Amino acid sequence: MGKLRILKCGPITTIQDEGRFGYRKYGIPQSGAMDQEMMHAVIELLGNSSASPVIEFALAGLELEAIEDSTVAVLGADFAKNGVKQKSSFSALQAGDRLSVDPPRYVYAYLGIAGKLLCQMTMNSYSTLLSAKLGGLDGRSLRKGDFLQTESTSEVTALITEPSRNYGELLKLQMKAGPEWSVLRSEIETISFAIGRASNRTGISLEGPILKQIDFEMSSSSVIPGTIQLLPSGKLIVLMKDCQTTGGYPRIGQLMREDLSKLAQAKVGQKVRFTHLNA
Amino acid sequence: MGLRLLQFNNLNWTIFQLDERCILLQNDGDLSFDLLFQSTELVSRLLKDQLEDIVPSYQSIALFTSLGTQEIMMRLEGQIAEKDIIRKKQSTIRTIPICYEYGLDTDRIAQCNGLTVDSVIDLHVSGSYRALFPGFMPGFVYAEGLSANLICPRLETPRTQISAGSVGIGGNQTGIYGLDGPGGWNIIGRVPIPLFLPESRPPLHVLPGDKFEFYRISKEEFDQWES
Repeated sequence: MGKLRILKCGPITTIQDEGRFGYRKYGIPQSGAMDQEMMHAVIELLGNSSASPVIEFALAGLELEAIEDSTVAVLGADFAKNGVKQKSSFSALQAGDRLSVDPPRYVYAYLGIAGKLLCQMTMNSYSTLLSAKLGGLDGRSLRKGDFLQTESTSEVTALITEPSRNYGELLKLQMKAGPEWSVLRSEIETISFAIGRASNRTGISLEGPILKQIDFEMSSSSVIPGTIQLLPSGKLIVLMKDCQTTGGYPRIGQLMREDLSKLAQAKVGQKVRFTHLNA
Repeated sequence: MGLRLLQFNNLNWTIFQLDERCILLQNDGDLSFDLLFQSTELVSRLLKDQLEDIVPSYQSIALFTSLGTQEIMMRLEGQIAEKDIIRKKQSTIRTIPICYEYGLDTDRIAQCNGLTVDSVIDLHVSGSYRALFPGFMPGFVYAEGLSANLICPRLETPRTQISAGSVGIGGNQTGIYGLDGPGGWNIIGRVPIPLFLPESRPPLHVLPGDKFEFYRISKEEFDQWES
């Protein structure tokens, strides 16, 4: 049981879960938390079931007021209870307590509430897809005045550590060759790319030298989160959770799943390099 | 790169494992939509519950499954669809109301083709169409069947907001917008019925492979429909 009211939050604050599966045939993107590993850590910390929804936020932090006693957990951002900075990543709030959460340390941070969050399940998922107004709360971003309410309780299991998202100089990403790998005529394993500004839940753009490619006409075919597309401009884009179901650019690679969460947390300007697993 | 060859539904395919849950069947030839939909239906029947999702597109079929390529080859190799596998399932032709008074670019389409606005509408309403694939945005369905005399290049500057139900022409492609959103296609008319139904199963009014025809309604009928 818990109930909180949002006093303040940024424009990219959405309810997400593991994602929406089985609806690609209707053109519905997968969606789901960008950093699945961090989301699962929050869920586990709270003792919630693995398919539970959490609140994902980017760019800005949020302020909440407990309307009823509630247990919350936050990973990826620091937070304070009634102005006192908390060292633990979870906190038991009493009605009237205020929670101030800082902006994410990396790109995405996650807040969960113990119990079953009351929100919309659409097509078997709570994940919000803004472009189609699906899931979450009326398919939109959370905003001031929204209530976050949970039913039933769960047992906090503490001692969960936050997945490391400090990458240092270079983040290495493991990929396998994609179906159109042979279109690429540059040695991408030797190139450092930087995370571009045009990055969001749909895709992450990579800045680097113009890559060489052979002329290749392809018709649209299936793409999934982690698909690395080579654009006509010679730039790369890595598709992320809200990507479309099909695409018409050469798929030169596919990122390993565990590295997709890592890439999601790479800040603009972070240097990345690909390791090719099956050359 | 682990490419494997598969003989399935009298066609040659290469199998490509995109990731641990997604296997692509790629056809090397020039696959007709009839054969594509037939093959897609046959894969669905053969893999049943072990198929989490399936995405057909022009020359390929993506299977979402935990089965490995070896298992997929064993299940599919040499299988052939009955001729009427599709017809049994999709024999009906849907009729969809359309209001041409909401055509934002009918003049442009007429000019592109040296036709009058009336003959553009006549040509469009008398066509027979088939839904191909969802894509571009949730609820959007590409279709075939556009008359060669209605082809018109995309707008130079896409509109930031197109209403759900708008019927678009982009070059030789056509499709219906299931949701409000940006778009660069010429809008010839709008349908008053919701095509994207998130709470329904299936969530699309017109499914890939469905045949459909339009019938014309007036602006008054459209507005009544909406209310």
